[in-house]
Amino acid sequence: MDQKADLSLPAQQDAVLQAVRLSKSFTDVRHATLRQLLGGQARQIEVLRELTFQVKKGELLGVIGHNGAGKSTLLRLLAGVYKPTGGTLQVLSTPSTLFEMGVFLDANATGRKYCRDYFEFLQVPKAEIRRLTEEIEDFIEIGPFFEKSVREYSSGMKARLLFAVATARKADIYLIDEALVVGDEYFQGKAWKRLFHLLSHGASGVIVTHDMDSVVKLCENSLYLKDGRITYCGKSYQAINEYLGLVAQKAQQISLLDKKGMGERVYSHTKGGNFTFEFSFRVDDVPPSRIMTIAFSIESRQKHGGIVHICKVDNNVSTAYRGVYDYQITLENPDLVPGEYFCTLTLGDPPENGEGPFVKIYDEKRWMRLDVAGELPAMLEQEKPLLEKQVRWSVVCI
Amino acid sequence: MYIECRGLSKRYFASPIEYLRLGRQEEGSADFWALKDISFRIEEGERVGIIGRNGAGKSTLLNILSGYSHATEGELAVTGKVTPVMEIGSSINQEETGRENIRTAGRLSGIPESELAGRVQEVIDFVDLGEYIDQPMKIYSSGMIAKVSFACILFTMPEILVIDEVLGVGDAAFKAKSEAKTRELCEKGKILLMVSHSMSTIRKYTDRCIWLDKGRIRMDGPSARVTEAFELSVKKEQESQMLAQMEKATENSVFGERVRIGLLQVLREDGEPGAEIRIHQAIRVKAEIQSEAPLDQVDLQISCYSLRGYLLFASSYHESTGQWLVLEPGRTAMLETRIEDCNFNTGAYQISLAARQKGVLLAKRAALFRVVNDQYYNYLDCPQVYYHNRAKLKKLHREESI
Repeated sequence: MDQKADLSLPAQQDAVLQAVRLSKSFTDVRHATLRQLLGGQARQIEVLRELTFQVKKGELLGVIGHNGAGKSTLLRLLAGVYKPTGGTLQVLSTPSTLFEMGVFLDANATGRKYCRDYFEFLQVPKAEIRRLTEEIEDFIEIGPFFEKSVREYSSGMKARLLFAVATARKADIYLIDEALVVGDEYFQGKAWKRLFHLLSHGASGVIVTHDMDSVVKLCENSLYLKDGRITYCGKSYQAINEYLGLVAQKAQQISLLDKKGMGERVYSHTKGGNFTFEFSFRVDDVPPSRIMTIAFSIESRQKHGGIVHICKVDNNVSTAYRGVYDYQITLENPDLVPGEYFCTLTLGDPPENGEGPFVKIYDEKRWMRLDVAGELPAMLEQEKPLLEKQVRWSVVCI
Repeated sequence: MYIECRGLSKRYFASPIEYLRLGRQEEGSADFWALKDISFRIEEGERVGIIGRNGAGKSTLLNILSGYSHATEGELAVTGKVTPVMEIGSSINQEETGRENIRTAGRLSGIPESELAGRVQEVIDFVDLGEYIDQPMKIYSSGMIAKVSFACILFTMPEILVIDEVLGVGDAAFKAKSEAKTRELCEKGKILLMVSHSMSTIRKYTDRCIWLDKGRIRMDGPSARVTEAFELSVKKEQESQMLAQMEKATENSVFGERVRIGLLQVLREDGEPGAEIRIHQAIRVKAEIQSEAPLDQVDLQISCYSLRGYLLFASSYHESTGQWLVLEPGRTAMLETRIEDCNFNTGAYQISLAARQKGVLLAKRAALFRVVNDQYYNYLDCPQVYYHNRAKLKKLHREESI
């Protein structure tokens, strides 16, 4: 077990978290004999193998992968709950953790007591504890339940409480595990807003999740963990494409061709011209209606997180015959501002009302990168708009 | 087989003393009705979703229907065995291995000893955790615990299946497997009750849906209709909150001492005021600017914000025309701008006009306008912009297979 840092890696000045060949193994206590345990010869289960990565200040790093890949263990390691069995880990300050939803040390505590215990443990001064508890009560909106034992809380209420407490004080580093899955739309909206606010004020952290939308919204970069190793480290949308590429596709009635190629390609468009997108699909089973809807959307990722759904165009096409169809979509002079976008192509059963969300999707390809080239006028650099509209000005002085 | 309840209510008492005063008619001041006057009947064969905001009473209702807690008032008749699939990890023994926990769950489900080994193996194969299955569950990640909890429903021979928010867990591969299994179970089960925050899940698995709002039934009908109404109501509430904020910001936006923007108006393409722009028509903005002192090198900037705070577009007078605005006391600068093809989503928008000299803000003002769209269906996850009038789909080639 090599405890020395890998000196060949240059020290990053603005890294808040740095892991070098981080490893974690657990002793297989269950199947070891006492002699083996005492002699240090019990079998080791390697959960994490030689992870090297860093998190810069103001960056949220995403971690994705199948269950059992080691994601949750990694978070606990970063939080200091576990100690590494190999490699080194440097964390700039005590992180605020948000994982294991639903586990309360004192099961009988009320919401209010949980807040108090949590902040007392962090040695927060009494006056501030009072203020924070009030803010939390306000934020989670669970009414009289705040004074009731957490045992009586619904899963949604527990989620709200845990989230609010972990994000009540500004921390430098956040470690989040699947916390955003639970809760209704209304609270998720509040939770997102708070996270964005924290991020735009320089918070850093690591988030483990299965929700691909969350990962792209919040994280510019992500790690894809497989069997305890980093299989990919880079832009989130690419990590997702790697991860989803491994999910087996069952035989489908209608399927897109060359999805891998579509995922790897970067489409480009220059301001002022037309944007053309070509694709092919195969019909193996003609649907009873003999028609299908093709939808093409463009999304953009905002600077501090959040995805804006910019446009969606759709059309019905005939799929009356089995075979391969080649199509082309053209957008005439879309007034998009230069920058990075993501495209989605969806093939589905025509929605009931003519236009609306698909009920049945035959096949879909998301996260295709589109770069719009061109120069951004100086005034737009501070706050980038979604569109570049031509404005005709006329001023007359009287 | 059916579930029927009439006037079902559940009251949480503020204190033990209140509880002892059960006989009294008046309500204590801090009492709280989690459910009030719930009545419905679910027949055999029905698949029913239960939706509502957090705290609406969904879990309370399911707890009562499953027998985990009791109602304060009302009648409830449940014929048939209720199998709940809820609260991940509630009956897990952390010290025991995954295999041992699964075996216990199998025994508790009443599987005869002769079949147990085979059924346990079935669940272990489904969960697919490799060698972790023989490790104590205390080292499992929350995702793995969820998988095991979910997989134990393979032991059930469901009559009345009650599912509470468990379907969102797991990685992509497990989600696909568990969706297929759930569908299978739903078809075998005689009655299905499902609580979820995901409207798409509700629409996928249920035909009928009950909407609980602050403990009462707000709507009870076909899933498609009820989920749409729910989404619409959530959206409307968000929008009216945001609109109120935007209106307030617009009112407070007037700024300027020596320089004033006396008038800022959004007009339709034909020049009429009324601030309702039809989609794909032009927006015209009129403004009047006055100054108490002579100023040159003044730039004007127009910005358009959506209800959700997105900056849709922005433009500067100087960057567009190469000229500067010159202001003189006693004279009014009449500004007119025209923006072609307003292709935004239906809703309220804010146009903001700012006058600056060498980066210093001189004056500012905002005005609201609305975009009306009856050309395209306006469903809930609408994009910001419509390019329908600029899009063409062309079939290049078709190769028929025999």
